[in-house]
Amino acid sequence: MHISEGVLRPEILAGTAVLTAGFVALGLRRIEDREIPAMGILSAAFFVASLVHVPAGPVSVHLVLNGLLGMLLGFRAFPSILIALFLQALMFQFGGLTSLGANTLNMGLPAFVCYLALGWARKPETGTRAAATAGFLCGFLSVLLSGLMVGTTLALNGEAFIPAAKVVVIAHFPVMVIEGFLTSSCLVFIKKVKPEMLAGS
Amino acid sequence: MTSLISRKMFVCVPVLALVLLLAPVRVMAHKVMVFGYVEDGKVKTISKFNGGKKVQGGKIRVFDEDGRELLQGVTDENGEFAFDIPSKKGLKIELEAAMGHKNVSLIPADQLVVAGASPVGESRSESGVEATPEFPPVEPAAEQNPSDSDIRSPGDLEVAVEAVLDRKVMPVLQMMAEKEDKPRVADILGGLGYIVGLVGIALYMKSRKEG
Repeated sequence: MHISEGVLRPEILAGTAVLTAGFVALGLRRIEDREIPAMGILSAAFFVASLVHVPAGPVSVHLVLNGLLGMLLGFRAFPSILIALFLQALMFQFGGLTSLGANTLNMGLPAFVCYLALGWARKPETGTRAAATAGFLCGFLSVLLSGLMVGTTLALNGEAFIPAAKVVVIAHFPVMVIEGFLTSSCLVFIKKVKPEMLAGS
Repeated sequence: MTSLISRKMFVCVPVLALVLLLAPVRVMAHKVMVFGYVEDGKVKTISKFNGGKKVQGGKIRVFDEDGRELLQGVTDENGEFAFDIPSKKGLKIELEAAMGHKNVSLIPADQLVVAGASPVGESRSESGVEATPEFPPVEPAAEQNPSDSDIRSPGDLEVAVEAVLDRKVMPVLQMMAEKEDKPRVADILGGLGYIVGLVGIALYMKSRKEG
């Protein structure tokens, strides 16, 4: 899911960097103290997630966890994802430093969109079954949309969209399912154990 | 404040543990590698995803030292692509695999001059670009078996010695290359440490603003 250094054209790097900067600024507005540790922990989870390798035929894919971050952090997911991607690029050379904007956008925007669509499940009034379903959809669709966005980015860079997107989306299908369940169970668990974490934002 | 953090730990540590348990034992970095070497008068390339999967249908482009594109090719189902030596100057071999993965392998000019019969040259990786060479197992050409060949001249001796050296050194280089690929525990802990540090700094700065 990470696009490496040196693949994308400068215009794409610049454009996505600007968009990401905007979203990150939005994500940092009026942060409250109690949100910061959660952002840190989930950012750490995202950081480590790329080490979890999921077998997928001829290519290699890894967990993304953007759906989880979107559901639990709302728009704070953007800065958390940015930090995690930055450290991944620095420490393991996953993705790239110049492509940070593109990668953050590709992974953060789907998380944000799914939060907007499914974030109602965080409310205390929402029942467990509804929350579990919403959580699954959030995890599943975030990875799916990320795959489509990576395909779009590569298409803007010159590759044919359909084959590029097909590879990414199909290869990540097991990841989508795994993360659906993961996000779903996390959401249900946190609603039961610490619903205050989901208030506001 | 402490109960707030430890409660979140209680939630998220089992989550993280669950996530890690789902992984197969080998945990991989998410990179692609290409390795180019000279054998039998041709340049051979092997392309792999980190973790061993061969890159099939990956696009290979070969440039000379001045950056001019010399030729293009596609890796076969073994991840290999071979071509005749196109230039006596140094070569840059670039691999583009699916999903936006890219990597580079350099072959310096002195490896392109074939000394005696089929030496196995090694390619240097350029620092700053994520090139981590993966080395193939060495198969010395038949006539280089030192016990069989007739050593008639210093040239023959050199060829024989080179073959034996390559055989001995290859596994060590292979081990070194593989060590570089895996994300080191130190790097993982380093990244996590940075995150913890950022959380601390953010909280401190917020408390100063309010205090």
